Amino acid sequence: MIEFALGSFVLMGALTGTFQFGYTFYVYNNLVTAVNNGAKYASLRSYEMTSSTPSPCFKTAVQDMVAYGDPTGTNTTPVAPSLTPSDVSLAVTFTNGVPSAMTVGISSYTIYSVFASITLSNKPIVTYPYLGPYSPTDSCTQ
Amino acid sequence: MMGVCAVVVFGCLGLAVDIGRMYISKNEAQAYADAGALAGALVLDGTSTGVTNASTAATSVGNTWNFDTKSFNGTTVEIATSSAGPWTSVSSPPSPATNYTYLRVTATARVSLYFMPVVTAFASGSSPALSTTVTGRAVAAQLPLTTSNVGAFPFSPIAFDGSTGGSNTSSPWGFVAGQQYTIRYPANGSSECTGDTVDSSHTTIGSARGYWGDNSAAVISQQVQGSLQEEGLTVGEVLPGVGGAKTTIATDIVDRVDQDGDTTDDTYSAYTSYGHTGNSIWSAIYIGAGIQNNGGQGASSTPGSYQVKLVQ
Repeated sequence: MIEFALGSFVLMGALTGTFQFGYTFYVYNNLVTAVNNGAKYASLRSYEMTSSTPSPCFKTAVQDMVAYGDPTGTNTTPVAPSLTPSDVSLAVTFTNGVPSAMTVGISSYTIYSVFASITLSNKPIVTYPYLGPYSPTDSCTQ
Repeated sequence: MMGVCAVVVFGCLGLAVDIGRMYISKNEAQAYADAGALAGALVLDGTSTGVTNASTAATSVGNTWNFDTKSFNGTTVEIATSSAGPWTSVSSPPSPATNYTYLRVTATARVSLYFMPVVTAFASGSSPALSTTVTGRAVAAQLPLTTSNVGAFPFSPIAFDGSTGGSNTSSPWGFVAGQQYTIRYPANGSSECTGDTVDSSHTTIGSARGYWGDNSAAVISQQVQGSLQEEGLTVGEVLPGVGGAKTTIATDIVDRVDQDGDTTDDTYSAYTSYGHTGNSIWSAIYIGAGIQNNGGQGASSTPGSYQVKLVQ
């Protein structure tokens, strides 16, 4: 009996830890995938602006792509619990006056795994070279 | 008894922590390899210097792993002329590297294991590996762009290829260097430049002015200035002429041409060293294997428009 009492502390700790790490890693892995998909999408979408500040429709589409897996925003089920498009950061790199790279990341997001929580700041974050059609009309076209 | 239970508990921890980290690292390595392969393939230009630059570009995108804390080391970059290989290391680039349009990036990450070694030691009885290697691999290539719904200037001289009865079948796109061509379809029965005279079909299009998809002045303006077409295009397709003279067209073409400040350079290197602004790369007078929207010269010996894509 006394052995079980002592042992259960260790066991409970191990089990809680297993859940906590497992769940946190699961969510993080989903975020890595989402950010990667968003960055790939951004690297192929038509870029309309002549500066590194993306047009509102470009930014919204990329943020929706990361948060919901859908650039149109029709599906609004987040890929991670209560992840919102505003948690997604987008930075455009310009070289010689044309877009050359897209960096997409999670600016701030907290993973709650029941027993503890961890706040991610600027991670995961991923950069892709820009491969899409650059059509500088300085307005949202789609 | 206690020992066996402990191993099971460590096994559970190992599954959650070590395998979890391996999955994440695998994902991060794949993202690094994808981005690196794309960045590298963009730079390939058919020279050995281009191969070296591609190698640098492929490994300097800056994506990291281990929860975005560690840089990748020991990345392998290889090039080939087809997706099937054989793969040549970029450390000894072929010269010239013509037609080396495929680039493969293999990223490796050594993930430390914290709990799984207990299980492996118990199972095998020998000293276990304290880390494991996860790999991400991607192949990107410059592929010919055969279909486009954006990025093409919606005006062109009429190309006289064999199927339309033209005589200049041996020249690139049916044009002769030094000959002048009308860049839009002229009105019925009139031909403005001498190069047009070998063609007879354009006079039957009526008053078509060379743009397609729409005849609204605003839409044409956007098509010319922003290179956005209403209809997708495929190489070899005959462009549908749309009737209606629009006075805005001339203004738009002038504005579009003015976006390119460089009107004199006729080599690729001189053109790209000009320091371009806006969308100048598009209205270049350089003609050859070009990569869409990134200004790359391209490694293929076949002229045309190319797009960099992941193939694997």
